[in-house]
Amino acid sequence: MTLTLALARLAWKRLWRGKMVWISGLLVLVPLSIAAIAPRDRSPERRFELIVELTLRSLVLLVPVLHLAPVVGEESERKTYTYLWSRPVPRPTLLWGNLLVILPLAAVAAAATLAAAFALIGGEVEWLARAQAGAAAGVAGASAFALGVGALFPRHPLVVTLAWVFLGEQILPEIPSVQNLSIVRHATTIAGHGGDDPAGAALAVAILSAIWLAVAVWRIKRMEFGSAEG
Amino acid sequence: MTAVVLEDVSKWYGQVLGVANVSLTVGPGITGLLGPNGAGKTTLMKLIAGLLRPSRGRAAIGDAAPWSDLAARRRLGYCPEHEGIYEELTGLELVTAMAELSGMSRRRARERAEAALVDLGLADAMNRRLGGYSKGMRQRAKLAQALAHEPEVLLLDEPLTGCDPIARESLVARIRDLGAAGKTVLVSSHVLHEVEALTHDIVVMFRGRVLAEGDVYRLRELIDEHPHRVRVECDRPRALAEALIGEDHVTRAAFEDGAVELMTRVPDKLYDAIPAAAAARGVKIRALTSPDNNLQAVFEYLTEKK
Repeated sequence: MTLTLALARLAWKRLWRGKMVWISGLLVLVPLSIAAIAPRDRSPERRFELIVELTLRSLVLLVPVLHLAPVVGEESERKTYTYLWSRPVPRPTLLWGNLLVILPLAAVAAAATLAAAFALIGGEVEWLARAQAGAAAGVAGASAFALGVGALFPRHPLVVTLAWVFLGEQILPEIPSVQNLSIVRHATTIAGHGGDDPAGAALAVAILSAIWLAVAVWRIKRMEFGSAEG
Repeated sequence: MTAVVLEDVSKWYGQVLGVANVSLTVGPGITGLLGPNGAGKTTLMKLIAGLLRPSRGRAAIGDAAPWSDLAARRRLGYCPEHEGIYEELTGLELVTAMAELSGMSRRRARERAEAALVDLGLADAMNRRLGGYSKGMRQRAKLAQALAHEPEVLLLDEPLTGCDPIARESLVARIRDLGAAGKTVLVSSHVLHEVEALTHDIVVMFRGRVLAEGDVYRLRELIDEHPHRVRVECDRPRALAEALIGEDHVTRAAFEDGAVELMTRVPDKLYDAIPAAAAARGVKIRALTSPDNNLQAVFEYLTEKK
């Protein structure tokens, strides 16, 4: 745990001194802006549903992907892995340390965005609670997915994960045979805007997350970095 | 005292050979790992550091294999050759974090990090971000992160690269202290003079293989047998050549526009003789270079001899 915390501190400092955090900040503003300008002729329930869907498809998916997918690839590209893995640090600790920083931050950002949108729109508190639960599940699933795919494709982690977010996650929910692979679909169900089995959806997110994390751990443990140049 | 042991270690990168059949034991004190670029020095260091898994054979620190055993890496400090570094962090943050990751408490890690950075002349810069460091400062910060947790085994991959002469001198003194303190220090370089300044015990690598190991003087002798060219750019090349051609070790002189290329079997003697001859004849030297003053040429010569 000490090593995880040390790596989390490292990730925290790098996060706030990097540029990606500004992009995440802008993503937080998108649902809020839409909430502010959403047509008033629709019911509050319909307007809030629109914001929830937008939040789940953008902020909830993109923030973990932007911050966690490059974790392994950046270490490799900048060769900073040499500092970490020549030490008595189990390699998966790099994943846990970054997860410890990004997952709560993204979940809080999503929850706060939804709360602010809810304050603008109004409605029943239960809508907000379910939406926040869906967002939290979505952030967890997206974080695990980002780490898994980032470890599998360390040279182009953002290209692969963003392709999945913008294509896979938009198409998969519409295809019955594979729709259970969609994180957004399960998060939407938990948020109360589709499907009728939130417990089943939560279980599905947990299983998908476990699979992606297992992939990330498996890959990072076997990674070798080096070339014939030296 | 911890030794680094390599038993018949080979490493392939796909079809490309990194190192081949290396058997080596490195004990306490400083050992120089010498070879031209691409000789396999960095691959060998990465195998010892646990960053690479041997394709064949066994690499160990003490009895533990660094690839799979965290205990082996607990004894290790590694200063990589590359310039990659966490640029967003300050020098102090980097070294503290790395000492923590080596198993020190947070408080102790910070104390040791400060001490290591001060020791390496970065007292004023330790709270500045690494992104703003010069090459020489980065090199010292990299060395500090390798030393801060007081490891028994140090792997220093080209540690003097990019350092100015003053920094170089202080780093050499620091590394020699570590060797004298009984640490097992393996220092790689492609510059013979750098290694000579640190130790007489060397391992020579070329094309992934250990070509020779032992005393640096033996290598010196082999180098001296190798015909060596020295190019002197000056205002009167013929006058300089006349003064030097009488030396028994100078075997040939060839003239170019504003320069003379001298061939010798004893380069050190020639390097001593040139300034004296120039002073005696009033020749003004503009530049002095050697097309053969790189280990690549020497190693190719040695390989051909074998």
